[in-house]
Amino acid sequence: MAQLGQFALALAFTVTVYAIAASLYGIRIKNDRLIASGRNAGIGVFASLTVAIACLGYLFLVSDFSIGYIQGNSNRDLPLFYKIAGIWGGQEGSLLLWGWLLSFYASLVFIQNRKRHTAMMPYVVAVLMATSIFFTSLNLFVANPFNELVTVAGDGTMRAFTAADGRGLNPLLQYFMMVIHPPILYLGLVGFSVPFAFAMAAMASRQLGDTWIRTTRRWTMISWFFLGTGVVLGGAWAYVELGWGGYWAWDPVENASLMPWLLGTAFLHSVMIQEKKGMMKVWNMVLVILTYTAAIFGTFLTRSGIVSSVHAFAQSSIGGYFLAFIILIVAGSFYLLFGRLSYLKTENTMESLVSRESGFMLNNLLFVAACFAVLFGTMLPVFSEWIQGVKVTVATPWFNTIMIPIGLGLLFMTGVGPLLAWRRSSPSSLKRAFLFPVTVALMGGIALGISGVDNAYALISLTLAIFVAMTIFQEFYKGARARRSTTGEGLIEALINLTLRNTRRYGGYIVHFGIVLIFIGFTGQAFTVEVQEEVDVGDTITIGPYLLRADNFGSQEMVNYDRTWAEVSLFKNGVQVANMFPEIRFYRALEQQTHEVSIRATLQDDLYLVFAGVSENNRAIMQVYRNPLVSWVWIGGFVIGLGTLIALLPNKGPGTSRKEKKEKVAHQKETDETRKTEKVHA
Amino acid sequence: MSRKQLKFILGPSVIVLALTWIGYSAFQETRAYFQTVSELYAMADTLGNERLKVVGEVVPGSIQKGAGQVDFVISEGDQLLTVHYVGTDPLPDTFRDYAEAVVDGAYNGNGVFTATKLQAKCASKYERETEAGIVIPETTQLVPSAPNIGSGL
Repeated sequence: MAQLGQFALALAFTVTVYAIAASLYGIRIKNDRLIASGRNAGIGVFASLTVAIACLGYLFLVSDFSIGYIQGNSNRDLPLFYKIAGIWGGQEGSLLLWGWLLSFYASLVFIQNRKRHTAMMPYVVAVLMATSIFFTSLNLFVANPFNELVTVAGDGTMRAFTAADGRGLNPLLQYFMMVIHPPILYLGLVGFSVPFAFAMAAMASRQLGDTWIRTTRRWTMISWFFLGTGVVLGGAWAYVELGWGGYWAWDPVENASLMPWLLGTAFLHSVMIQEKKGMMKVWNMVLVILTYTAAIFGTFLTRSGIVSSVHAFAQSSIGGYFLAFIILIVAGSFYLLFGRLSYLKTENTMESLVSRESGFMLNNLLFVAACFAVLFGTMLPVFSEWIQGVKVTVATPWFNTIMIPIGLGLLFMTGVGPLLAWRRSSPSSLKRAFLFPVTVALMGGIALGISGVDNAYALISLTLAIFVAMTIFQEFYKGARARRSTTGEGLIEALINLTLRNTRRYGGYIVHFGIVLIFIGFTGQAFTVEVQEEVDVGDTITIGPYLLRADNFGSQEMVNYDRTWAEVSLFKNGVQVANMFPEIRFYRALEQQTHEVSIRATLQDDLYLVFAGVSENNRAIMQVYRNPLVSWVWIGGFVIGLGTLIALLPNKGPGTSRKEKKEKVAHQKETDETRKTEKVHA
Repeated sequence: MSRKQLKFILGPSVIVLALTWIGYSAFQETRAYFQTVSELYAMADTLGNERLKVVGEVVPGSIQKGAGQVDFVISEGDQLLTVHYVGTDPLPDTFRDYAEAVVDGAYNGNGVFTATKLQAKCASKYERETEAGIVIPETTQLVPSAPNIGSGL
């Protein structure tokens, strides 16, 4: 089976080379059949890599420990579910997963556009396949998951060797969220290859209208959706599994996925100006290049171990290849961009600082600044060693100092941006748009201040959260009210129809609302409290309104690990609310210990309990955190996902039945209303 | 450049400068040198109470857990550094003999370091030595199975 996998990889490599050659040569000699053949070869790459990854999965299922990768990432007692996760448990398999997902996306793109964009598509095939060939060659020549395990005797002869058991999957990865986290994250990172490929194709074929942007809008959003979900899941995993009480530590691997997300978000916004006003054409090219580069760079950071990290499961020699590939991407795409500058002239100029355009500009500035700050903080040890010969590092305090102001600025723009009119906003329109949200936010802020929120950043953050939420409610309410007055629909029905008729706009508002919720969750961190105490049966720990009582301890041998557990009763204001079972696990195959925390989550706060260890005098060491508002981070993530899915829906068009005609009139009036607002703003 | 366009340059510049200033002043306050044990000793005389991160291998058998404090020794070759860990965070799961530990704190002189933060990574050496009962010689290496393509399907 390993041979089949090996063969499928080699086949994929060959077919990829053919796809690139056929596409590029097909354009040159203007042969449509050759171009079509190149595209179909691209689909063949997907078939080949599917066989390869299926073989790897099979080898995991049958625990074939004659294969190095299987031996290193699985063991006999490992549950089936985690054996499958073993496919992407290490470097070789992760790279294969990357390549496979890329070929999957590429096939979808090729099939979807087989009759469209005939000038651009051959280039799209070439760019996507060029990315694919990078990952396939890494798999084939540098990090091959199908390599056999051998022993080398004293005289240098090598013999195949089958281990009795595997070394096991890293226990920190043996967790449901960690199983789905890498594929989801990769679906995001990989996905940005599509808009990048179209951008390059647009430049190569000189088709520099906004076709490439319109064609890839959904792809960008889908990638953004998966990447964002991946980042949130990563945080959730860190929170539940790493046991230090938080979900984000500005760790290099976390930052690796955050950077493309920040740039992707900037891109998602700035393309709207190009679609609407024909501005920022060069900037959008730059952003899509940077986003794609950040996605590759993110993979590089995770897999190369260049910056040490608690997540860095890999430390290897593939770094150099990634670096070369990144340099190639940046040099090639910017060279192409400079050659096409004359095609990318702006059709409009900025008129007013208080306008939708400059709102987008500020949004982009802050997102790019955020990404730059994260990049600086992450790469500082590497750069300072190159330049000064001394490794200098910054940690969480530095990231927080710089990222909190940027974050608050972005939150502010979330509320302001969508309400600004294109070109310029007049003072009276500003008053109309902002009077209500500003008033409510100020009142809310004062109320929070009086009720004892004394942390300045927390107070600003919560006030802004109220402000943004109010702007969103106001938008929905105004739209629904206009619909209701013409169609006679109920408010709820009007709200739903309103959203379905302009999914991009209202889906976007829902995403913004999710951002507000996430910021509320972030703000809770300002009020985190922790205590550490040694306890015996019957002893209690008090934290805020909570009281914990240690009831029992025990240990047990499980299939894959040994566990030592504690049973702790949790009381809130004197009433028992939960039984908690934190435990310490010892994974036998890897001889590694992990802590399984016990969390009782409510909308108000999380009580987070870690059985940290046993002290010298044989008492249990308990670490307890009270983390306010954490749940809102996960809820916000969910709302963002929901909003993105809504924004991906096609707009519901007006139909012809009598009821729908009535709706059509309503829709017309609604659009008029919007226009009127924009006119007033202008 | 027209005066009208000037404000679109000035506005962003102010923001960029402000952020740069925040970033730079925070950098001055929070940066830490990241050194190996021998680099620490080489620089020891010039160090004041500066924040440092030092990386080394946990000497097997040196970990002693006390109340609110953990003592251990990290090494780089034959250079040893005694560490008092007084941080509040629980010890990482990966912290054990032979692990690569990064301690974050200040050097007290005389080969003693007080750490308030501690990170640890499993060392590959450790895995090689124990392998959970599987005896794989140190010389074990992976070679491509490619030569057999098609032979064992």
